[in-house]
Amino acid sequence: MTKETDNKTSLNRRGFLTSSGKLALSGTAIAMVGGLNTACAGKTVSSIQLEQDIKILNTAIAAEHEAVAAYQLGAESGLLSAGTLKVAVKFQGHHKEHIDVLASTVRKLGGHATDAKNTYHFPVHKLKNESDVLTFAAGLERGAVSAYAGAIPLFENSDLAKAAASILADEAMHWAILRQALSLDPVPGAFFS
Amino acid sequence: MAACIMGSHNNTYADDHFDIQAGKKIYTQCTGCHTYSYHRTGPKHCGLFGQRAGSANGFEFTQAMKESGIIWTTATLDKFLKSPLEMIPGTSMGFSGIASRTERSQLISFLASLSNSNPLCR
Repeated sequence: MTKETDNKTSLNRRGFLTSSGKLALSGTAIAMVGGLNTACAGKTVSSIQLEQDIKILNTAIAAEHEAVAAYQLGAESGLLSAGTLKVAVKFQGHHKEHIDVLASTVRKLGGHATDAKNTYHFPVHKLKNESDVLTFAAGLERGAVSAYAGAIPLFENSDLAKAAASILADEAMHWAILRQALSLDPVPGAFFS
Repeated sequence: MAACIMGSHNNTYADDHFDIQAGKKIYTQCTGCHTYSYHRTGPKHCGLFGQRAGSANGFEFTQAMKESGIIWTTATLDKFLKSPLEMIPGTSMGFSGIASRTERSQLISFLASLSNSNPLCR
């Protein structure tokens, strides 16, 4: 085997995500996967790039686990009204779905998906009322949008970029709704930075 | 502000203050994974300056970061923030980088302000 061959893994991009019947994917994810990319099918990707993609995905998974834990903290805080609690639980569910899709993708790529930590460090002492919880959650969602925006240009695989963009859009919606609930401008600008 | 690049320590107090405040705003881009005073998906940033890369207690760094041999200074941070993966292939910091020299400089000024005596770090 030549060095070049050794360093390249043939990756059938249709293969690693389109066998999605085995995955618990959301409608959006299924649609995303369904369109998966004939354009890239059969293309080879370096094992270094593959390893890098897995690392980036795992970093995203770690952040998503943190978000799930944060919403759990908010839900159990007793500080949320019934209506807000319902929305918080819904957003938490989205983050769980993100984890499912990202973890499935990591496994399909041959990697091991990052597990949730046993404990998370949150500024619990600063959470005194519903507004504090919403501010905390909005900060996490805003950070998540930044994280995906910073990661997307790194994916060589357009399918991964597309999936990350879909998640980014969802988290941007969470951020806007949380800002609205805090009586802040939900969409503070034409561009996000 | 271009004159501030890589040399914020030579600036006047007013320039430094401006840079730190501007850098704090830019830091919001980091908050998906980092915060000042405790480890999250990424390590905390208080006390980063002068620290050996991958050495902060209580955080599980990649082998690539631990073996990089980098000491965090204005110069090394500037290079890293421009393109983390180019400087340290194998880092788990999945961030494409900050292209603007001015923004990097401002962010570095803010990071430099995060000494352990900074109220944000208590």
